Amino acid sequence: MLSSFYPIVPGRTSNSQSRTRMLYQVQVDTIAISKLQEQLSTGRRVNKASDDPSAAVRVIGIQKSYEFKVQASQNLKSSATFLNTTETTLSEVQNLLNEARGIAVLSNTNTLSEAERKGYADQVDAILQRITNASNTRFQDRYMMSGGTVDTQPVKLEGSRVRFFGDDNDLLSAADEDDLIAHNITAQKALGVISSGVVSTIDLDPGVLPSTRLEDLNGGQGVAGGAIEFSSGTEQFSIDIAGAESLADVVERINQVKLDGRPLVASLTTTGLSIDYQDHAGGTLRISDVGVGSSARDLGIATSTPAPSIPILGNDLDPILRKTTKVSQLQAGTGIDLQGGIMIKQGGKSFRVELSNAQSIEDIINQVQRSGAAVRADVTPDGRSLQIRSYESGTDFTIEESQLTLASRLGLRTFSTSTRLESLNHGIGVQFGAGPDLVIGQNNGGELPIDLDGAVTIQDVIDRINNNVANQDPATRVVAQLHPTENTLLLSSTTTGATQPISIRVSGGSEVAWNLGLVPIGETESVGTVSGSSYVLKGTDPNPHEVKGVFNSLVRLRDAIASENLPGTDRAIQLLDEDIDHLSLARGEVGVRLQRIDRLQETNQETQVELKSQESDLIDADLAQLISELTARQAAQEASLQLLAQTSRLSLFDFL
Amino acid sequence: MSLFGAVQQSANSLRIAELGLQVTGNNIANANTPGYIRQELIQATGVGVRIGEAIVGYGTRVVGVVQKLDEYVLQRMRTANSNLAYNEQLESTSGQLETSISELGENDLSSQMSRFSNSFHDLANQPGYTSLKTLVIERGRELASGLKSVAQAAVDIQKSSISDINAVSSDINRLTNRLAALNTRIVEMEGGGVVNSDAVGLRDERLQLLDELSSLVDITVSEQVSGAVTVTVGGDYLVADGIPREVKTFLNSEEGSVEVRFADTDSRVEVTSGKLKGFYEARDGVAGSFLNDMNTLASDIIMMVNRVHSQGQGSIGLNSVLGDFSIENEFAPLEQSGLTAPIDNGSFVVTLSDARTGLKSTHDIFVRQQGLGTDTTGVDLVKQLDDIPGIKAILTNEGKVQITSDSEAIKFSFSNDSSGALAAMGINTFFKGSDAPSIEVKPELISQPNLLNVSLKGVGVGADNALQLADVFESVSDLLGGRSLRQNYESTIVAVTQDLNSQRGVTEGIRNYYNTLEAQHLGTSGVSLDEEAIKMLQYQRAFQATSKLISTANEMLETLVNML
Repeated sequence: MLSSFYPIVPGRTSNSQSRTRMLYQVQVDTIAISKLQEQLSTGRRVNKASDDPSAAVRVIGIQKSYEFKVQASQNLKSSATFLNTTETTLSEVQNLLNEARGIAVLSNTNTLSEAERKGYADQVDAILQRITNASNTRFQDRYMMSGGTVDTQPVKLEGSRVRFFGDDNDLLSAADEDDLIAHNITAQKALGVISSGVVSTIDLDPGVLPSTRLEDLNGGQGVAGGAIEFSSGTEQFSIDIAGAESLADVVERINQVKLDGRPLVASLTTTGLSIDYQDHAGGTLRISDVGVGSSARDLGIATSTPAPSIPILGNDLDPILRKTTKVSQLQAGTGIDLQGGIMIKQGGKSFRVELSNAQSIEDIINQVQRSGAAVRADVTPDGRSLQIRSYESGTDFTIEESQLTLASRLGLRTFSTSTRLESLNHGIGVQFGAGPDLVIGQNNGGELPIDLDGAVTIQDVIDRINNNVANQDPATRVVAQLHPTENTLLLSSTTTGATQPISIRVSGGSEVAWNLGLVPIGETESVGTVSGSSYVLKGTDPNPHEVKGVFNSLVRLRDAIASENLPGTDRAIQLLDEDIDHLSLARGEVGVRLQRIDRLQETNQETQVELKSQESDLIDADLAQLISELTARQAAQEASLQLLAQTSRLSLFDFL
Repeated sequence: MSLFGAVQQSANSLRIAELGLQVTGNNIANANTPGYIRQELIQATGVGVRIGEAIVGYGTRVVGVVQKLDEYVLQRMRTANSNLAYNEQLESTSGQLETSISELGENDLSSQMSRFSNSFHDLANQPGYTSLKTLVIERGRELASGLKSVAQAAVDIQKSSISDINAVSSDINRLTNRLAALNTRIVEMEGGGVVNSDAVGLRDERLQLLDELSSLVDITVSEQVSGAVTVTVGGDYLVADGIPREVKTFLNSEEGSVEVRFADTDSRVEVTSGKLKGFYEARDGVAGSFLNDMNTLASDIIMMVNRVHSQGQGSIGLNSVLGDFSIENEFAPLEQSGLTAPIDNGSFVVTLSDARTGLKSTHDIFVRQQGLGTDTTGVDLVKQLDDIPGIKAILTNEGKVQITSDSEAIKFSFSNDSSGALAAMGINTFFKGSDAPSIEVKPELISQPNLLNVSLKGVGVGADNALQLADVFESVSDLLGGRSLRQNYESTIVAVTQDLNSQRGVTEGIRNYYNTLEAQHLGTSGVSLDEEAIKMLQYQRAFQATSKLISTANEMLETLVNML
């Protein structure tokens, strides 16, 4: 800062001049001393931003960072609290699971009395109860394990089954700038409460509409915003599609193009763009990206040399599914016939879903939700298919036809000719034996041994039966097929000239007849019935889906113990082992996060100290310097006051 | 002649010594009078008389009493005075604004922004905690009132400029009237005397008045032969001889600002420095641009916060909303319809949820702003909304969009607005208002904190939007010229403080210059007591010598007489 001064001018001087100068000097000294005093009392060199603007600006930045770091530290503390609480809950659950596994092992024998079995089953039930309570832990006004819906109680025991009402969303908190940390573990991650989705096996392949968003095209990759050049060979015209939201916007922009006075016209086919001259009189039309852009390619309209024939028909733009996607858009714009409905079976109950009035994907989702089954439908994360997931643990769930073939058309049927044998029976698959795996009793009493070794899909099983050389006589032929509506295999044969109903018998050491649901487990044979002029033999659904998780395993275990179902208990033990692994992983993740929080907290504290010290360097007063300056100023002021007093006493009049 | 002549001559000398002593006495008496200009007795040699062959001196004579004054220094001093007053005014205004920002403290705007952000962080930590939502809203209100009060400081400066300028105007009139009166009296008194400084006391007063006037407006002073001064400002006469020209203040009711004009011609008094210019500049320049900056900052905050907030969902859905901003021309494309916030080509999503069935329905609303004749107008938009089964949308008489659901059970929410239309219309937003004085948190949020849009994945799901909102001051946006709100704010602070800092430097420089001139002026025109003491001695000795001469002449005469 400029220092103030009162100059001494050469030439004449006067009393008023020296008086003014001295007054000024005294004032300047006093102001300087007050400033030093202010700095001393506030401890700051810069009290107002204008005292040192460049320092002040840096300090404002530092203060902002500091305020953020303090908050981030707060966030970390809060996250740590939540994660610690979660960890406490999870460790309790793990102890309970270990306990349950112990019980399972103890009960996995056929030497128990009824009372003992009931006792064990009751203990498992109590554990189920306690884990349910643990999953519903509330901490600071929030359900710890319900994902994003923190106000919803996540788990409810309903009769013998357990339903989940939360979601699988992470709750995030800012650990640092651009660094988020999840401070919850969802019930799905830790315990497993939602089944893996029944994903439609067919490509629903939606076509495009004017309202289709560009970001949805190319399987969700979108379209790069950039310039597209149109050329007639003699004239070029570029348009920019940046900011275009939908295909309608692109069409409108292309319609602005005129080459050699001939306007272009763009329209939409069911799957992409089509571009021509408005007069449809042919000619040359090339479309290319400008520079390194890829808009034309992304829109499927980039042409290669030599010049293509016009109209230029763009490639399939392959939009992803949205809730708003119209049913009529599906399968490249031909639509899907939604007549017939689908049947969801869950926990022994059937829920029919009528979709004939559905106009959009969201309508389908809504109808599934309205069915009453504890399932939810949504679009898969990749945006390509529909999926249906069960939210109920402890029950099987399947999707089959209601009347027609809608479930198959939507690719949602859980048992079909392409179902792989290895996935049957909750993933246990089928146990082939040596030699024939099953024996079909024909209507004339003949026996048809079928060897299924090497069969991979249900279709293979059907083929092995139907194509068996000994099964070609129309009078005795047993035809295998998928049941038109139910998820089972259906064997049939004519009653004409028959001597007995058809049957299936377990053969040798093979369990395939049980595994395919053709013979009830534990029995050796099942016999067909008469239906019209045929004998029919219908199995059961060998491919039920279930929620993989703690609650499912416990319910299964309890029921298996209660019904002395040893294979069931075996499976439950396996499931529990998987759950414990799963839970350990989740706990591991909590541990990793807590560790990360500790590390971040440490860095955070160091940064806070560093920021404070930077701030201090910039605006805090250097006391030693201040005090010495103050002393110097005071001395100067004293001197000038003394001088003032002395010189004002001096006068010639004294000597007259 | 001869001896009698010598006595006669001595009588003149005695008279001059007496006069000289009187002038010295006057100087000594006024040594401490502010604005007093030192006087000096001007004496000259008496005209010689021819006696025979010789021309003999005829003693001394009084020419007059003059003020010791350097007109050139004085004129420069007045200019510097005007400049100093102007710059001091600017410095004081900038200082007031700086105090109102009180940056570097704990209650400044940047801390308020941080607290607002941090309250969203807290909410992300505990999304279900309703009292944290109330805290967010309180922090929003704190920020709004912080912006208001900072802007108010600038408004206050502008308002007080009215009375300040009024005071300057009446001061000018008082001074010019007095100057004109003094002009007349000085001319009368001096009657066109030779030295033009006879009316000493009056001239002192006039100089002081001119000094005072120069601190108000930058005047040019020229003295006429008659002794009267002509004062002009910006080329116009302010005082000519005995005639003052009256000024008045004129209130420009449109801008709410006043200016000083000449009463007779109603033309503006053109000033380039002085306190008046300082007030003008403080009002229009310093406070005006600061207010503009604050208004821009506030409207940017409103826009950015609202853009993020309008994308989100609260923990309950909406039953009815009313936009804050009016669509003035419902048939024009939205971006030209009178809405101030920018609207891009884009779309947003409306999701309805029916509590009776638990079902949801999703609807895309397209906002086309391609400038190709098919752009979405206010009417189009309302129709798209109204076509959604379950809700009704209308444009109110004021041009605001109102959306209501058909049933209590049907709730709606918004998401994915790539057009900015919701924020521009003030739907589903956090702040209302358009600038610093009008910014406030929407009243429906204050009464219903659960409407705070903390979620992005649906009503009551998670707190992802809270994190977006926490980041709103730091995130860089094309709408802000590729900068963030925080960066823009910091630029404003830098501008104000840097201006103030350099203003201080400039003022200090001018003050030093003024001091130099004042020192020169006081050196020339101030009384030096030592000098007066010497003069007193001189006059005393002259008186003694002359007396001795008379006594000698007397003795010589006596000798002659005694000879008779």
